[in-house]
Amino acid sequence: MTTKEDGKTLPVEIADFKVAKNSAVLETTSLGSCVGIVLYDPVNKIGGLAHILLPDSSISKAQTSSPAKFADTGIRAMIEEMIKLGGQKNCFRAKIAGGANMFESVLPDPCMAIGERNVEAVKKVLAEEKIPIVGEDTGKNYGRTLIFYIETGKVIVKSAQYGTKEI
Amino acid sequence: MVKVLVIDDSRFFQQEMDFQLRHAGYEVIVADNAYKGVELAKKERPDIIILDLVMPEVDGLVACLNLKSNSRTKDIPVIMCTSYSNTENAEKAIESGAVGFISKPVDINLLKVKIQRILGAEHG
Amino acid sequence: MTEINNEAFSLIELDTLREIINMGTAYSATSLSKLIDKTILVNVPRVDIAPIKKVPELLGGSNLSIVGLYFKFYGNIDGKIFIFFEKETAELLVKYLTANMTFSNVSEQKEIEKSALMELGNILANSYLNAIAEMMDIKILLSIPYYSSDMLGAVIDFMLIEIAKFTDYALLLNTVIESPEIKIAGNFIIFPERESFEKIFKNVGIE
Repeated sequence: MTTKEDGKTLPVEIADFKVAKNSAVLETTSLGSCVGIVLYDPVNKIGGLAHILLPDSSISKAQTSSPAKFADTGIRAMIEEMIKLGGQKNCFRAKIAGGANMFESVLPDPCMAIGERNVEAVKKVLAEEKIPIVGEDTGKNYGRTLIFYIETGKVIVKSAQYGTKEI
Repeated sequence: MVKVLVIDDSRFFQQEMDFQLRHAGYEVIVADNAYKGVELAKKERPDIIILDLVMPEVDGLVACLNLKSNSRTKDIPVIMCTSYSNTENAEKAIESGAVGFISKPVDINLLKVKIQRILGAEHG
Repeated sequence: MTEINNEAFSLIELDTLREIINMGTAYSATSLSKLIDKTILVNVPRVDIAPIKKVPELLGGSNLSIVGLYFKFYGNIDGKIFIFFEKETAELLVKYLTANMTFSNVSEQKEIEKSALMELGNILANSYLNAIAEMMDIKILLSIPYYSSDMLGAVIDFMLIEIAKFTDYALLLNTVIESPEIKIAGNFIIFPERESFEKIFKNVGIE
C-alpha cells in the first residue's frame, strides 16, 4: 500500500488497497466476485481504492499479510490511511463495484454466491463506519474494471460486455 | 422406421444426436430431463432409449429405474450414456436396468452397431 | 506431512504432481482430438507456487478474454478443476462442434454454442479425472459444469477467493494444450483440497 499523487494512474491489485490525493487516479481490474471499494473525501481531495476478496477476517484460518483481503479489515485500514493523509472521516463518501456471480449452470448453486456475500459485508462495514454509499454497480454476472479520479470523485466502471458507465 | 428417444439435458448433445441418428436412418425424439423423458416414452413408445447418466435433479439411474418399473415402458431397451466411462458406472447402469452403455463423445458407428444388436436380439 | 502454506513440497512430491496432471491432460487431449479430429499436444506441466495476486499474470493476463468451465469433484479425493480457452479458441472449437447444425435464430445459436462448450468441458474434465482415478485406483465424481465467458481475472477470482480463505499463496497445477494443426490454446488447472494431497502422496507410495 503506497501513497502517490499528481496525475498518474496507480494500479490496485487483488487483496490490496492504495490511498492518494489530488490528481492521482486509482484503478483496479478484474473485479469478478471481488468488490472494489472507493472511499473519497471531496473536501480534502483524498481518496482510496480497495480490492477485497472475502467478507470477514474471522473466517480466515491463517495469518495474512494482506488486511485488504477482507472487507472489514480492508476498509478500516484504508480509512486509517486516508485520515493519516489528511482526510476527514465525516466527509467520506463511498462507491462500490463488483460482487458478481461469474458462473452460470443448469442448476443455481448457493456456494457460488460469494460475490453477493462480499457486497453485503462491504455495505455492513460502511454502515458501521457511517460512510454513505453514493454510487454502486454490483452483482449480476460480468467482470468489471474500476477507475477512480480522486480530483473529481468520478468513478468509471468498464465491462467487456456492457461498455462503460459512471457511478 | 426405428424410433429413438434421447434423454439428455445438454441442448448441444440433443442436437448432435438428432443429426447423427437421423442420418443413420432413425426417427428421433428428444427430452431434456428425466420427467419429460419418462412421459414421452409412455406416450410415444420408442423402440430404444438413449439416456444420459448425469443430469441435474433426477439422474439417469433413477430415470432408468422409473422406466423399468412402468408397465408401458419397461420393455423398451435403454442404453445409458456418459462422459465419465468406467466399469463402475457401466455396472450401475446395468443394475438399474440398462442393456448397454456408451461413452461420450459418442462414436455414432459404435452406437449403430449396439442399437442393431439390441433390436436384432429383440426380434429374434 | 506437507503444508501448502509452508510451500514445503519435496522434489519427489512435485514430480508426482506433475506426472498426475500430465496424465490427466493427456487423456483430455485424446478426447478433444477425437472430437475435432485434430492433433492435440500437451505442454510440459507446471507446478507453481505464487502469491494470489500474481496468478492472473501467470495464466496469461487478467484482461485476456476467455471461456472457462469450472467443476467440483468428490470421492476419494476432493477439489476443483478449471478448464479455460482463449476466446478465439472457444469460437473455433464451437465451429467444429456445431458444424452439422443449423439454427433458426441467433439466440438459439448462442444457447447451443454455450451448451456445446459445457458439454465439451464435461467430456474433458471427465477424461482428466478418469485418468487420475485409474492411476490411483480410486473413485471420483464430477459436478455439473459452471460456465463463464469474460476477462480471465474476473473469471478466476472465484477460485482465488477459495484459496485466499486459507493462504496468501496459490499452488497452480497447470497444463497447457495446443495443436500443430489449428490455432488453439487451452489450460487445465486442478485444485485438490489440502487433505487430498496427503491421500495422493500416500497412494503413490511416498510419505
